[in-house]
Amino acid sequence: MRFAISLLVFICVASLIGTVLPQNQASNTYIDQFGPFWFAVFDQFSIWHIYNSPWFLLIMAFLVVSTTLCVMRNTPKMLRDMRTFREYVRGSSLKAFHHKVDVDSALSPDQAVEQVGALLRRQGFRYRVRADGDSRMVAAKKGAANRLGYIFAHVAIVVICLGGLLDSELPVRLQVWLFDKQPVVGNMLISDVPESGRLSARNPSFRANMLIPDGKQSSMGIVSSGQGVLLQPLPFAIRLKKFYVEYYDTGMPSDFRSDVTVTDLATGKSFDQTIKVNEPLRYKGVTVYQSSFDDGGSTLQLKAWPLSGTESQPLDLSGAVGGNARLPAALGAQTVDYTGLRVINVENMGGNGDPQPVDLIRDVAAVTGSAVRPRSDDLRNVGPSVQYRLVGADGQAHEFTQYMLPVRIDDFPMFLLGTRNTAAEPYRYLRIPADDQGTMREFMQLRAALADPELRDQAARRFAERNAPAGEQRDLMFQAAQGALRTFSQRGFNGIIDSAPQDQREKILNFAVPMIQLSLQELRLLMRERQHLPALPDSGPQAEHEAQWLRLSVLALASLPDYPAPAALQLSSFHQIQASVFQVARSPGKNTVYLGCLLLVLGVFSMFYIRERRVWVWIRPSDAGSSWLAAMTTQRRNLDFNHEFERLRDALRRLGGSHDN
Amino acid sequence: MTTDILTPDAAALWARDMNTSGDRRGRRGRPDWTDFAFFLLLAVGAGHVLTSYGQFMDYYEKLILICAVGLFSWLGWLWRPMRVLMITAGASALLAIWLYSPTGALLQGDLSRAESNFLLKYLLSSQSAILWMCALFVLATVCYWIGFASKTAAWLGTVLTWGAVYAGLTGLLVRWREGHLMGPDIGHIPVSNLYEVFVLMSLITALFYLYYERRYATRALGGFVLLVISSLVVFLLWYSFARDAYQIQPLVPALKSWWMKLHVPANFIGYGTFSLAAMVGFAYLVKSHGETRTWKPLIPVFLLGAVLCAEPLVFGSRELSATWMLYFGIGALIVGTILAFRAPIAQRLPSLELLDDIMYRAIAVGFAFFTVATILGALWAADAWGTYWQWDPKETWALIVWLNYAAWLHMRLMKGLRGSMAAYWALSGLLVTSFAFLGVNMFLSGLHSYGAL
Repeated sequence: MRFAISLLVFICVASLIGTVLPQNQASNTYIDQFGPFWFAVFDQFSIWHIYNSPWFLLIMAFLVVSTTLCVMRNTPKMLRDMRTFREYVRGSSLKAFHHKVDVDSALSPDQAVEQVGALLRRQGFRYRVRADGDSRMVAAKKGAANRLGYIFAHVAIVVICLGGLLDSELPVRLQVWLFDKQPVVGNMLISDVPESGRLSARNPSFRANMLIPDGKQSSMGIVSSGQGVLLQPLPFAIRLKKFYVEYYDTGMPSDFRSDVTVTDLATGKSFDQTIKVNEPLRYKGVTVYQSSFDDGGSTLQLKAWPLSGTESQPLDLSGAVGGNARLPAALGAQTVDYTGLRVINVENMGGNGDPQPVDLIRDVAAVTGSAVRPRSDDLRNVGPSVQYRLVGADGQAHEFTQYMLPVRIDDFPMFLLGTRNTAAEPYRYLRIPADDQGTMREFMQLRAALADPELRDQAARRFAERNAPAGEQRDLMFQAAQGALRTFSQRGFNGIIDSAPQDQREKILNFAVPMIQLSLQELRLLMRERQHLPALPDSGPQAEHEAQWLRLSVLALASLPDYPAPAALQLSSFHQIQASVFQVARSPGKNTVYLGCLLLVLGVFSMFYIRERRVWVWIRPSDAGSSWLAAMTTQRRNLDFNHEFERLRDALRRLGGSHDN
Repeated sequence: MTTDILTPDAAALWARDMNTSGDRRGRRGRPDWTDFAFFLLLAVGAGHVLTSYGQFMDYYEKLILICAVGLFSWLGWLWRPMRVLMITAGASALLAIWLYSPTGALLQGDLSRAESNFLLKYLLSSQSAILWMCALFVLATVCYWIGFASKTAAWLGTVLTWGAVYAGLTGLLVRWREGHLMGPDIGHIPVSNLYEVFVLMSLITALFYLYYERRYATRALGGFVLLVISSLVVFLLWYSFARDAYQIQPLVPALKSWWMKLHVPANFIGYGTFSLAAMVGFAYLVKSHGETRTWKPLIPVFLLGAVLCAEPLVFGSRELSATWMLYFGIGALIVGTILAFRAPIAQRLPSLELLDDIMYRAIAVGFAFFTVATILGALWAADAWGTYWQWDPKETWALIVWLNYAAWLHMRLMKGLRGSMAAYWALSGLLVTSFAFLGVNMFLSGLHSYGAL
């Protein structure tokens, strides 16, 4: 048993490691975390797949063998012990028992046997009487099933491990080894996969994934194996009629279900069924579970707004999620990977500041009452968003997210253009104010105008004219504005203060910011004249709105140089196609494991709650009638046993009608 | 002629006032007319529910309701005070439901009544009731400790603990209702996230403690067991105030299953009794060191106690919040004070044999239910995620906890391990249990991340 215990400790530690280190991730994640040297060391021990590693399985195997041996060794003994009444115990040896009692009684031995027998029966004992000359030995026992509990519980462990083995990765690995299968790495059409990449349709144990877009059909599961995947043909084909996801107000999914049609490949018959998260489909020994969902290749129409150069007209782009497209040559001809489309984005538009300290009373009052407290949250669905990936001018890949519709922030509708370098970071947003028509057009035109040196100069001139008296001051102001606008257009505000010494920066900004703002105002007016747009009002709420627009545009323009893409892609329309992700499994060991579980529960409860007791009463004739010596024993001594013995002792004494010698 | 009832002189042979049933009967015996009346009451109630609201329930829910009638009747026979508890908490919850429906039609309800109606606002609405539970538990802790010097205080401790259990149970039942009032698909049994299970665990631990208190006729352990319940309460309050965690959240699709009603409570019977056993182990160590004059043998106990108090610090180590520093400080102080006063405390604690017996009993029942809960979890996982065992961190840690206590039981049953070693082991088992309960949710990601902090 000590061996088993050390094995168990080993398993505990190994399992622990497996919980702390995320398992089954891509190798680069681990290399990033541990560095190449330690990665190589840990890899030797298969720490990334610890639960399926050979040494872990070996330990489990040892455990199973050790438990089996233990059970095999003890069971015959226990079964024998369970059945025997041990009536051949000698009367005198009862004196050696710790829990014993002597009773004198007026009853004759045979009467005593009857009465004692009746008492024992009432207490739940079964007994056997052995006659030994004039004496009688009543040997009783109860709760023998306690031993059965031990046997059940330990057999259960073996059964569960064996069943689990059948359902583990082992059968697939065995097939890969026996039949020389080669896992497929990289993308390939299903029809191109060779025989070595497919498992047999009669594979008795597997766990596979299936991604089926709306309206499509598949009869092939994907089993992951080693570094690649293997194909698993199923005995039926599943066609996803429609995938539904329902949401709560908070934007969290409340339910997903797939309406599928299942067609038996052998007979051609088909039937419909709905698969939900806790309601899998079971057919022909294969179970299909609703695992998650994904995009099934939604088609996208986008507009690409150039972010450099003097052109402000957007170019049209189209593609599908999961696919890619090339930006037009005018924008750099890079490849855009469309990674996602989210049709519903529920965001919390409420106050996001740090919680302010409140007095305790208010806090207590705040948490009393019903558990439904209207929060300061303002949850709103802000509309669809698209995610894509682009390689920037710096050669690094960036991820982008774009909301299709303007979002009202601080009471002004703005387009949010998010970017991040890796999935681990949060998105940083560029906020572009929406113009009167609710588009980015005016902003983009402003940007294009800023990039045009001729227009910049003109705007600077107008600024100088408006704000400085004629003469040298005006010239100086013009030059300052011209330079500032040029620097600003290339590198934003940072460009202006970068070259200045630290202590001067604030002063320079105090001067430069209004100058740029006013110059850009001129630029905007200039641009609007060129486009034959109506004049902006001078006063009133509309004027205030326009002034706000300009302020936000300045901020956006200042951040634009940090946006790592040559164009801003805006979603103009889409057609969503969802895909349902199923997990498909054949688990031959499942019923074995369930049987083991039942045995385990029965065993554990029997071991604790069925109390095994043995009682012997040696009745021998005496002058007064008979004299009894009773003893009680149990495998497990605890407080209860003492009290049970005391009750038995008192009952026997009452029966005997006399007191202790 | 034998009798099934204890005769007076036989009773005197037992420890004073101790009984196997934990209530006035002394021994359980056969069910009597009160048990049948209780069963009838439950059956009538269930029947009413099935006829009036049966169309809203699916097959499994009806089955669970019917089985619940049997289970609760049996529970009432097992321990009489449960009947009183169930009736009072049930009646209070029904009152709250009625108060929530201004028109009297119970299917409709108005949550804003929690603001206007006095009873709801201060007593019966779920959060108010749960806060009362927290306050009563803390008061009970104090009373039990004073109870080492005063019998009345100890009695008060028992009363307050019962009050807390009643309040907590009412709170959970009303919370169940409030969830349904929030929206058609939002209501669910309140065992679905970390907040709710904290309340459940406090209740279960307290109930088991109260049972053992009656059964072994000693109030001396109240202070110890209520220490762990108080730390649960502190965590609950922190979680409510700092993270707004008390709000009822709708269920994610994976949790929308009748399995939750079985798996989660069974699990917390396990966790609750393991915590209780750990505290009894602590009491054992205090008693066994009651006569020691030097500090050195006490160091392991103090360290263990301090580490347990430090656990939340470690968990919340992202920000060393003031609450947890304070908690650790006060916790260490409490452990130190208990050890300093070990002599008088040890005198009032029951015998070592009795403490050992309670530890064994608690761990045995906890282990049995934990086994059941893990198996139910596996069955549920098979239905929901496609496989019954995935070495998910929570599942793996459940296995580690199971193995830990299986080892403890093995050592005791096969090798006869008793005494201080068993007590130390039970106490350190709390570390493993609390990591499996909390640490996994907070640190390790996986399929079980329903209660992230």
